[in-house]
Amino acid sequence: MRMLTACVLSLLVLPSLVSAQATPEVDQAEVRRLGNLVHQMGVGPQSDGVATFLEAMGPPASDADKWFISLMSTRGCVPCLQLKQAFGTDPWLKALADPNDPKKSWSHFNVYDAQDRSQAFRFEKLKIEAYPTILVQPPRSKKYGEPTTVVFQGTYGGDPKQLATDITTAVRRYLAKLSEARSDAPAVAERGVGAEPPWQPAPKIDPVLPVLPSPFTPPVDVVQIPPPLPVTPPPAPTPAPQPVTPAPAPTPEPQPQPHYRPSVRLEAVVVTDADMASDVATETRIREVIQSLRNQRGQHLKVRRVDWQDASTRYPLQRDELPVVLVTNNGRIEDKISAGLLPFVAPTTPTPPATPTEPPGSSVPTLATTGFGASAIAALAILGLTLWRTRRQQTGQPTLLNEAAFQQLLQSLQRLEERKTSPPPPPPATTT
Amino acid sequence: MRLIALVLIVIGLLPLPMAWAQDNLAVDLPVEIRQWFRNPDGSCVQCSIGMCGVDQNVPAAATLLWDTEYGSRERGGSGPSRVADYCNRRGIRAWNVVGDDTFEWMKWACATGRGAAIGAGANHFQTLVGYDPTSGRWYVCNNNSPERIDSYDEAHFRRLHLSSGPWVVILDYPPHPARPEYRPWWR
Repeated sequence: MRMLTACVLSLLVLPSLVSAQATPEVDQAEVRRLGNLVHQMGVGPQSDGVATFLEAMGPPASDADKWFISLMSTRGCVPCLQLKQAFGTDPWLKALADPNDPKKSWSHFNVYDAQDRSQAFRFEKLKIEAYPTILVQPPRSKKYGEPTTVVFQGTYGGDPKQLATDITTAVRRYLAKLSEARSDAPAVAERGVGAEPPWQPAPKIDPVLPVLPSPFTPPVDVVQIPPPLPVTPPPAPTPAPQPVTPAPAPTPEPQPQPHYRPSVRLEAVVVTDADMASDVATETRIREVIQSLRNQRGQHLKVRRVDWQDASTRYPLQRDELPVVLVTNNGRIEDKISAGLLPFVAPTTPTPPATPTEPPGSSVPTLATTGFGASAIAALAILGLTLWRTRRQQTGQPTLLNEAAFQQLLQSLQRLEERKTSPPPPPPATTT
Repeated sequence: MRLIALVLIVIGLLPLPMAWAQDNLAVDLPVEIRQWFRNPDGSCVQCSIGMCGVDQNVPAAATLLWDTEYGSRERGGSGPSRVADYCNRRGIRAWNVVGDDTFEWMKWACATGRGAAIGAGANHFQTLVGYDPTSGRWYVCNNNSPERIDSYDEAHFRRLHLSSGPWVVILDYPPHPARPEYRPWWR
């Protein structure tokens, strides 16, 4: 019985052993057969499936001294696509990185998809708020300092020449600082698999959204490296030579912090869904609403476009209400205009602010436009006082206050009215 | 007392090669990503190339093991001609190097920040993730144990590589930049 079981087991196991022998993990016989060869695969016409083996050749020249230019993009981002194309066509950008000819390119050019989970670990230490973001880093060889250093971080405003100039300026400034530091202290610079992949790889072709190319929107809190140079004051007269005094004790170096542009508290956040392109009418409506908000809240209102994936972690939003325009103040939502309301929100014209020189008769429109508030009371008081004084003057009665005192009183009231009407009125009730 | 001091010195010296490796490895993938490329079914060549693919951000190479828009999964054993076939089909630019020059190519790859899929061990492929020319140590990630990086001296590594036949695959794409961080160099 045991013998029979052993035979059956052997018969079951044997075919798998034979098959394992037939398909080795590495075809060593072919490796031995080929001898000394180098085969370049996937290059131009050779990538037609026909194996073309070349003569044995050594590796190419080292490219460890090349700088790194990385483009951080996100899916469905029209400016990102424009910038990618510009790197292949624009002579200013091609001079820095040529994706079509990596061998001749001045730098190593890499494009990273912000949604690609397989690459997210690389940029954990960076603050990236807008796309496309361009990063420039020194070569791996450490010829120009630490290769981890962010020499340039910036966004794309639609002008390739400007971007190229900004990058080269930053690199020059960095090299100047580096050489300064090296001359001061030379040592400082030297010291269960399934059929699906476990992450969502970047799409082979980034679908172009069927929307008009959106104009560049200035985002807030965007890191800019290097920070803009301060305005240099006129040179001070050279002081007379002083006796040398000991230098003050060095203060501890603060922790390195990225330099940010001053944050603007008020901003409009346009939340869209990269997977569902909005139509031209909606895009136009969004622009009108933003213009209207700018008219209401002032032209300094910053606009930022955020994908649903990012926005859903910060704001209480439902996907079915996209696109949404949020008005936030210091991160707090003040107003929310969702897709359902967008077609009904009429662009409003701003109320012209009252000026101290406007006639007292403005009290009625003030009352009508702002309601019965302090400004309306002030305006009515100006009107009443002026009428009362004029009437007393016409009838020859004493006016109680001399001219100077009366003008002072009027000015005080006008100031009060101005102060109350100057801030823009709250937005119309469009909150969903 | 002397013994304790000696032990402390030895312990202090031991992690040095790995400390070098942390900062200088050509392939710097975190463990959780390396584990995606654990060998499922005798696909060691594709696992090794896939690891290089994700390191150099080449999705067509990184997704070799799975069905994606870049192509159907490639599973099972491979030789140079099969690798050439699927690289050409997927448009993956790579060098298929066979013969005496593989050591020179491997050193070039690591010096320029690239990894390499290499023959390592009898009938096996692994990912070369770094080489320290000063100490002569090679750093390799085995797709049967992707959670760790193995380190070999020159002689040991030579034996390891040649036991599978001198064959390496190197992706012809730019290396990844070092993980960027803010340093206030403008001050």
